[in-house]
Amino acid sequence: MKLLLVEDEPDLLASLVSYLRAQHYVCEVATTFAQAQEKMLLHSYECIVLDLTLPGGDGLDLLRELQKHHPGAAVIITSARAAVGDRIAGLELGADDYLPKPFYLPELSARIAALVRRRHYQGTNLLCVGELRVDVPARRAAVAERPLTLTRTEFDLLLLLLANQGRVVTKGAIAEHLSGDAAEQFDTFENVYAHVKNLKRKLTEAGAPSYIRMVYGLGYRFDVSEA
Amino acid sequence: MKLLARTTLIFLLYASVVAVAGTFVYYSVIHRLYYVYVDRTLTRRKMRVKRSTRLELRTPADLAFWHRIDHNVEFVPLTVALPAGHDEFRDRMMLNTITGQPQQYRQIAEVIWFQGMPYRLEVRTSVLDDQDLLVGIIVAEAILLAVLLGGMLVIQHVLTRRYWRPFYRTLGALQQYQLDQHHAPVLEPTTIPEFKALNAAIGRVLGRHQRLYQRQREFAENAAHELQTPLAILRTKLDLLVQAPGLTEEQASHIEPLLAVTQRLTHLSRSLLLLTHLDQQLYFATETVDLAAVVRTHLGQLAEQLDSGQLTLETDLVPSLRVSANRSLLDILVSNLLSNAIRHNLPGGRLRVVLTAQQFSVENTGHPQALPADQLFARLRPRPDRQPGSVGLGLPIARQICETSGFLLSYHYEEPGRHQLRVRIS
Repeated sequence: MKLLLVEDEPDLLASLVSYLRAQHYVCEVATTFAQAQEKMLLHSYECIVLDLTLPGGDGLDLLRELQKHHPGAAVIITSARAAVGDRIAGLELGADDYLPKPFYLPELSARIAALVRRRHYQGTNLLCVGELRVDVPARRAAVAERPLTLTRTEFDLLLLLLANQGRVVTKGAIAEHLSGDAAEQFDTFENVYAHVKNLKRKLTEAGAPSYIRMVYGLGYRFDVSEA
Repeated sequence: MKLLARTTLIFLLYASVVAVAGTFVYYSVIHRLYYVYVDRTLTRRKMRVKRSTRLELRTPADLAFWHRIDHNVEFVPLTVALPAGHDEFRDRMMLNTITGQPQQYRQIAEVIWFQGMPYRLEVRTSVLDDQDLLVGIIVAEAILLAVLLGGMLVIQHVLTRRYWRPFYRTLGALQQYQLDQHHAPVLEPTTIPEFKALNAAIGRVLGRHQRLYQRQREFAENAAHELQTPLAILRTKLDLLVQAPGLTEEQASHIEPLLAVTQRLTHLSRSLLLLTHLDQQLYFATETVDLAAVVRTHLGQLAEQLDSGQLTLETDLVPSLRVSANRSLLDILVSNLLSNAIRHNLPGGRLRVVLTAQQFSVENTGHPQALPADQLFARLRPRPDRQPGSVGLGLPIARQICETSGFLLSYHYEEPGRHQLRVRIS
């Protein structure tokens, strides 16, 4: 899986590369408009993570050009420009997703995974992890043929954890993934505890090993090998 | 009372005082001039009569004959000898022999000697009645005053319409003016120096305020903006840090508060961005949104928070209420109000949500003391009731959204311990 990360902030870029490489993605980087333009047009990528404010030009122009040469390329815009207009313009120009900065790395990883899945496995998209089978488009999950009855929130939570296997997903990332901005209204993560507890209980009841572990109160990790 | 009406009234009051005083001045001046003239005329006639007594009259019968021809000349024989050559003027009423009406006369009298006999020579003439004179002057003054009054009203009307127009235009522009609009109002050019100066001064002040406000707004937006990238680095580095193999529990206990404050900073900068965005943009695309559905959705999403505070939820919602608004903004408004009422509630308290066709109100139990309404909507102002972790921008954002959407947000404290926020929709 080859990704192109377009980001001019070196520290941020380093974080992205570090996290996504550990997710077994092949990451190429571009830090300027010109570099990004060259790589985008010459190669094709599973997904392009595009920052809008770049030295040398506007990311939206880049997006316009990309759509001319590689229509249908998968693009996630990450931007500090929170203006609603930018978001709409980006999505209208063919971007698939828009993630405002600052974002959580697990969230970006989950969005990339969702986008890649949507692009590559149209309709038949089965995630197999250990004994767990997850049919993403149908929003169904089962443990060794025993179907799980998950609420929408629990299913979203499961997808987030599956997209970040072996990594610690912090409570804040989970809260934001589950409820968007409303998570910020409350600093307690009681609903996160409750949802994770319910998900763990349902998995265990279906006979799955305890895949989900809490890490020192920081967050949770989904790991098949540990179980 | 309008400025022009006020000056006109004062002017008219003064004009009537002058008119009344003028009546008496006119009267006395005319009266005096008239009498000086009459007296001089009488004196001359009397001298002509005296000359005639020396040159043409021969007998006392001639004197009586003259009186018969001219009633205004009379020789009254005197029984007592008086020294001659002393004029005596007097006013007297006499019956006019032709009209039979009493008539005012002015008379000059002098003692003369005729053929060794003393006579009092009286020469007189009918004069204008004093009362008639006064009435005439009053009528003239009244006509003048009426003309003055009418003229003033007409002139004032014309002045208001023509010369004061730039002033009223400027006033209108100022009344319409709001600091957060994008341009200072355009003031109509005028040739009147005072209004020119006024417009120039207003233009200067407004322009400066506009620039200051713009700079302030841009500053807030840029500051919030500039925060996003460092925050993104902070967040992602923390995300990587928690992945570190061999992370100890002690290290984790140091990281956890970092995650929490990063979260809070993120919320703060996003709220600031949203606020500056709301301040800047006057128009947001609107659509027809079912407010009742929005409220129900948010109540559903907040069920866990309601449970964790052991709050009792009471709702009274109309089945459906279509409003024209921006959907994202409406979502934030409802979410902020509901979260606010949950966060500031007492454990085991009540949350009452009412939606009618006119208003949306959220009421929560809390301290039995009214909150200062002006501080409630102030941005980032430290409040004693602020909860740790809250950034204090929820209500200011709610208010700004209401302003942008044409709603009215207000705080009410009608029952002890019940804090209510009301959104007037129509």
